[in-house]
Amino acid sequence: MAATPSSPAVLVIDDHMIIRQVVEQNLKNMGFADIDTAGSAAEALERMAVRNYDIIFVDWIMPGKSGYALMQECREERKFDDVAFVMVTSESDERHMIEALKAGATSYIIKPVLSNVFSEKVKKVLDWLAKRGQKSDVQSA
Amino acid sequence: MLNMSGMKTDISGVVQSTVVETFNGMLGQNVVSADERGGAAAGDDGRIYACLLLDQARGASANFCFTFDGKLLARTAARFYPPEQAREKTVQEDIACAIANIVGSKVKSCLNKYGHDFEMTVPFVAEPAALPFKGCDTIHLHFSWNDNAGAGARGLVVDFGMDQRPTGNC
Repeated sequence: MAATPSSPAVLVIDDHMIIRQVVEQNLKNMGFADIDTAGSAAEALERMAVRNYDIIFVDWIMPGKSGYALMQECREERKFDDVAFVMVTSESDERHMIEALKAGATSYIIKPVLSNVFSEKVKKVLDWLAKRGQKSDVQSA
Repeated sequence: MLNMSGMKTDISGVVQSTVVETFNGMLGQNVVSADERGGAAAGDDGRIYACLLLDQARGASANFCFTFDGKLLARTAARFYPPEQAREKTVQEDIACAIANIVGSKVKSCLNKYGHDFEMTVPFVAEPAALPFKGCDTIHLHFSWNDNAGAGARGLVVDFGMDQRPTGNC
């Protein structure tokens, strides 16, 4: 993917600044250009209130509202139907992964964030977005 | 009765592989697992301590203290932040806790695969005088890093202890 004016809008939510930096750097290496970050669910909600995102990377466990709870709330709203949620978490149990996917995660990335794994997962998310876009086009036609 | 010896062996392996993978694969450093003699010991200045506790309802607990060399954290921070910001202690503490969080979570997953039900506390920064787990029957895992000056320097020591008392404190 090359950086273009139509680069997907991305929000990265993690309470650790270094993880936000790592994810942001990986995204920039892939050509993403429109990246916002938030250090908590509350800050993320403020950002989501003023603009729309195509992909939201969210940590599962954070002080205050968890990323999991935030994703569940968002999934209850129609406006997030075509938004990809990527859970980026240290929780590597299979049951956590299944739980996240059932709750609406589009993808699941286990920390530490490794560039090759990250880019593979994000490419699949872009495919998912493309398919959703086609579906939306069909529905609106 | 839990097989504490077997659990300690498992934990050591997970800590060693996860620390190396996190520093090298995610943070772009060159860290290796070392024996106790490996690498020059860092001075007290600039050390950052991050701690966490794994606790099990049935009474077993594992406590961890990560002692980071400040120079390793500074170099790691410099890869992601402007120089002035990379020198800030809060930035380096954030890296320390993020690493402790990843390692602790991997250990928790490893233990819970065997049917345990450990929960993990959020990692926290501690001052040397207030380290919460001093005096435990601890295992010390050492890591050195290449500081690009030709010498392997002591970069990190992970101390952990386990017991079966309800509180987890020694």
